[in-house]
Amino acid sequence: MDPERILILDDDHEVAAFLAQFLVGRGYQVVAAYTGADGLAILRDGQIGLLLLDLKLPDMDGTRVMEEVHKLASPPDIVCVTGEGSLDSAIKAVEGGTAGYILKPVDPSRLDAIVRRVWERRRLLRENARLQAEMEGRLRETEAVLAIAHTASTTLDVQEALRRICRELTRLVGADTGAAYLLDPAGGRLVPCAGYRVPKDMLATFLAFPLPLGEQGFETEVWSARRPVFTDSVPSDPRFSYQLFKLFRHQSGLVLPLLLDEEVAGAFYMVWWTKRKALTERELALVEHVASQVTVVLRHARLFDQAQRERRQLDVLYEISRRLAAAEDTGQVLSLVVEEATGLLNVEAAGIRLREGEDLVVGARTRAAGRVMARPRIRVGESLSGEVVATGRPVMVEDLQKDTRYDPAHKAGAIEEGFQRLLGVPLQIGGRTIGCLLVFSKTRRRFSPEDVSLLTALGDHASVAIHKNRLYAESQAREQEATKLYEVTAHLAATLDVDSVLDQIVEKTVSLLGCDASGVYVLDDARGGLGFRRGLHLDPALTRDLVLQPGEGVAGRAFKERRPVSTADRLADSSLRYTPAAAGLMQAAPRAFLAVPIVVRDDVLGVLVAYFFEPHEFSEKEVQLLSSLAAHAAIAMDNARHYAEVKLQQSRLAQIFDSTSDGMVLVGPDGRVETANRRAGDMLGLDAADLVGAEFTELLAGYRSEGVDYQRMFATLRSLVDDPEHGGAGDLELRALRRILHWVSQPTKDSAGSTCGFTLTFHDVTEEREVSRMKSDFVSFVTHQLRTPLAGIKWMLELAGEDPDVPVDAASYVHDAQEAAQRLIQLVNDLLDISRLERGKLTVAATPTDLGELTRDVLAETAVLVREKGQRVSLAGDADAPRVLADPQLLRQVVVNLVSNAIKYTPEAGTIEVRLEAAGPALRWSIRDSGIGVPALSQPKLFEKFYRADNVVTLETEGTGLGLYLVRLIMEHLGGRVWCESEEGAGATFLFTLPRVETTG
Amino acid sequence: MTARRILLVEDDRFLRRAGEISLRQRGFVVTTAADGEEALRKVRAEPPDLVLLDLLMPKMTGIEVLKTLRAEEATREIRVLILSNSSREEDVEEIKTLGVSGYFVKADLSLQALGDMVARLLEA
Repeated sequence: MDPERILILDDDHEVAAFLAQFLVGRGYQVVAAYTGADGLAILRDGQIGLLLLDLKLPDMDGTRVMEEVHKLASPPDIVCVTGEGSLDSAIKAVEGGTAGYILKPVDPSRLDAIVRRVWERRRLLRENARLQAEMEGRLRETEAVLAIAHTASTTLDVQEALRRICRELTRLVGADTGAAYLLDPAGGRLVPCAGYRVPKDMLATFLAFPLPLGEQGFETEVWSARRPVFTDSVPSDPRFSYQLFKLFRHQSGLVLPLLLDEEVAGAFYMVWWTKRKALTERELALVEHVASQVTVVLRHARLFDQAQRERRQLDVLYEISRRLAAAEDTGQVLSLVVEEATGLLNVEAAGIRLREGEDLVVGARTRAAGRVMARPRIRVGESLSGEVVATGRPVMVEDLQKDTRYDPAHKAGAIEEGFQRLLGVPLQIGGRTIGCLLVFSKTRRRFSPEDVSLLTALGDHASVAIHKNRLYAESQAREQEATKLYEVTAHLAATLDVDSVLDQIVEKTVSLLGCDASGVYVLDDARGGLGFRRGLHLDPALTRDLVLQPGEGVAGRAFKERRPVSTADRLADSSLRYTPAAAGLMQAAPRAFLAVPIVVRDDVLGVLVAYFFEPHEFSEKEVQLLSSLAAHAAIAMDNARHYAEVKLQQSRLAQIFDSTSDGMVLVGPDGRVETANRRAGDMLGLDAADLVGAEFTELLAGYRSEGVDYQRMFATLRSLVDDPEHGGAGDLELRALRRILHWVSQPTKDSAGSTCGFTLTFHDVTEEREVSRMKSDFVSFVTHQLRTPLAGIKWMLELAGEDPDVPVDAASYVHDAQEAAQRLIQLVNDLLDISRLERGKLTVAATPTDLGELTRDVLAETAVLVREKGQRVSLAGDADAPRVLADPQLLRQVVVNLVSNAIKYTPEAGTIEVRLEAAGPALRWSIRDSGIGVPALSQPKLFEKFYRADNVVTLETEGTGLGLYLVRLIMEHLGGRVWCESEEGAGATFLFTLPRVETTG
Repeated sequence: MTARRILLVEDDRFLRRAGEISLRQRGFVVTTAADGEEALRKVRAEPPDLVLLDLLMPKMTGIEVLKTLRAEEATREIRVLILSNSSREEDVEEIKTLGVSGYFVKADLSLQALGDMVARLLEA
């Protein structure tokens, strides 16, 4: 309904009524007044849109009314209605800003038109104004929203953002005061953090009052619905019963929750002190939009905070890990970790337990944790720590007092100290849990998943550092052990003195094992058992004559059972047995014994023992160490044994070498003399010491003064250096020393069979050669001595035979004597030839010889004898017989011998056939007689010395038995063969072959 | 024709006598010497046409005599025939280098053959 009315102000009641009636008929609301004062009163009341003004009023002039109207805040339009129309009044009216001027009587249609016009105009203006306001409102909104968005995107400071947004929001909704609240996670309440136009006197109170989230004083709807809640009558709204709202009396209020991830993170509260605000849909939507913007801010801020926090944590962790890396021992590492844990997680106490077998021992703890981790040792699985280690997963206790999982006794200390929460994470390396890291908090703050991962990260660093330090400590220990063992090895390598090595070993035993004394017992048959050999820190009076039997005491048992044996306390060990002889040992200082056998291959040579003067449990490590040392002792003793053997062998060999009667020189592959015995030195006229190491060829050069023959004599020897495989033998005539040495060379073979030089054996053959030479000289001498008188006899007989005055008988005697002398001379010649042939002294001058011609000559010489005996001799194949390579003189002897034999052993009128023919690459010469033949048994022996066939004895034939032997010797020398083919009684054929000489070339 | 002069050097008296007689029978003028020294004296005094030289002699061996003869200008060209009873190769070799007209073993030689050989040599 149109809020504006028309006021008719006219003192004429009829006119007024008429106009009123008309206008009402037109649908307008009308009100009338008859005096200016009444009219003004109504006008001041407002809501008059049009004033129909009679200029003539009883109490005042109409213009005065117009003036008053213009003073109004929203003046109505004025249409003057007057009975008097005067220019003056018209001008007044126009000047007064009228919208129209009507003369009475009023033309209703005209009035209607004017009123319509005015109403329309007024409506448009109102519309305009409304639009304008709306636009301005929108503009303001937009600006506000933009401002909020800008704030949201440019600031991470939540407080600041809220402050700004609070301001914008307040203005946006047109509130009088605005306040912003943020969630305090610790208290679970919203605390005021910003305000806009908060009245000064209320400020203090305002700041002191947080808004609870715990639904206290707030209806469920407010927080659980997570929606804005608005009321325009706070005092009477049951939802706003909270104290704060009562303290500040205000009319309208708007609670705008700020949500982050579905949870209330803050709120805005808009206050209209007096106004009954009506919140439009539009405003509500706007407000919610703002809320979502703020959410963005909060989210960013939270993310940023988180990032910052994480970054700081990383920095801290990095710093921690650096310091852990620099820590020098495990103790330092552990202390560092617990200190850092308290800082990182913002707790009051922290501690570490480390695993030792099935127990957990306190590794480190902060001072504040003293009573919390009171027990130094607990079992795995026991209490919180135990559970962490057993399961390998983090464990959290939210509220110590309310917790029912753990033994109250264990918690008592913690609770008394005021600790409320516990968090424990495992320390793990390579999948194994080596302990746990615990933190204790006195506040009620919950451990977030972040806290758990942070502590775990710290724990990982700690595990690595602990592990690293342990490894380092271990490796240090190992290195020390290795160094000590190496010293023993080095000593082993440097000396073969067993005792000194054993001394080293007992010393190292004491140092490496940390025991009080050590000793070595060695099996000694002479002493009847395990005799004490070397030791350290043992009473000498006790050990000097100590001999243990196998099985006796710890050492004896180790020996017998061939394995380490120990006793932690001999006083408590009833299984130890000692003979009365060793009773003294029972009274001595050592209480704990560890004995390890010293074994070489299959023999136990002795026992190494470590002694502690207090009871002591021996660890696996100690047994290993001692076994290692025993192994060294074994090597030392074995080496010494071998060395002794080798020395013995060597000295024996040296004795043999020097006591042989032959000289021996070994020349190495480098041409140097490796070794020579004394005899060699004596024989060569040198000091054996000078021989060794000398260059062999230089050595030989030293004999150059032996004369022309030096080259020949030493050539072969020299060549041995280059070709030791060749071997050889020969004579060395050393005139200066007046001796002849026969040398034999053999290649020297090593164990692999390859040649490494040659060995010369020298034999003094001076006497032998002398004898030989004497023999040869003797033979020559004797030959000469025999021949001379024989020649004398022969010549004398010849002279006598030629004397014509000699009687016939005497002449025949002379003739026979000549024949006898000739036979004797022949014998001497034969003997000489044989002697020389046998000794190899006859040099054979082989030349191509015509055997045919030679045979003819011989036959010619013997022709007389043949004729006398009436024998017939034939020769075949002599004319074109090929030449043979032979010494003609020697060959002649052969032919003469065979022909003579044939003549001799062929009876009168017998036949002799001589034949030459080719036989392969040789020439065969044969002579066949028709004599007595040679029995088969005799044939092989024909060519032996002094042999005459058995059947020959029966006949008178002269023969020395040397002829065929000489023939054989000569044939052997000429490189041919001679043999006999015969049947007894059917003659004999003697044959020989010689290699042919090729006529060409 | 001048009769040929032969010097027979031989320490064995039987051989010396037989040889001298046999050669004289053949018509040669024969002088004898019983050792090397005597031989050299006689050669220098009256150079023969041929020397029959034994090797094994006391005081001076045949080889030494031969060496001396060959060393002296006056006696270098005198023909020498060795008559020995040794047949050591070492001797034979050495003698061959000194230059002789022959080397014979007396025990293997008949007087007849000896005379023939001497005649042949001196005819040449």
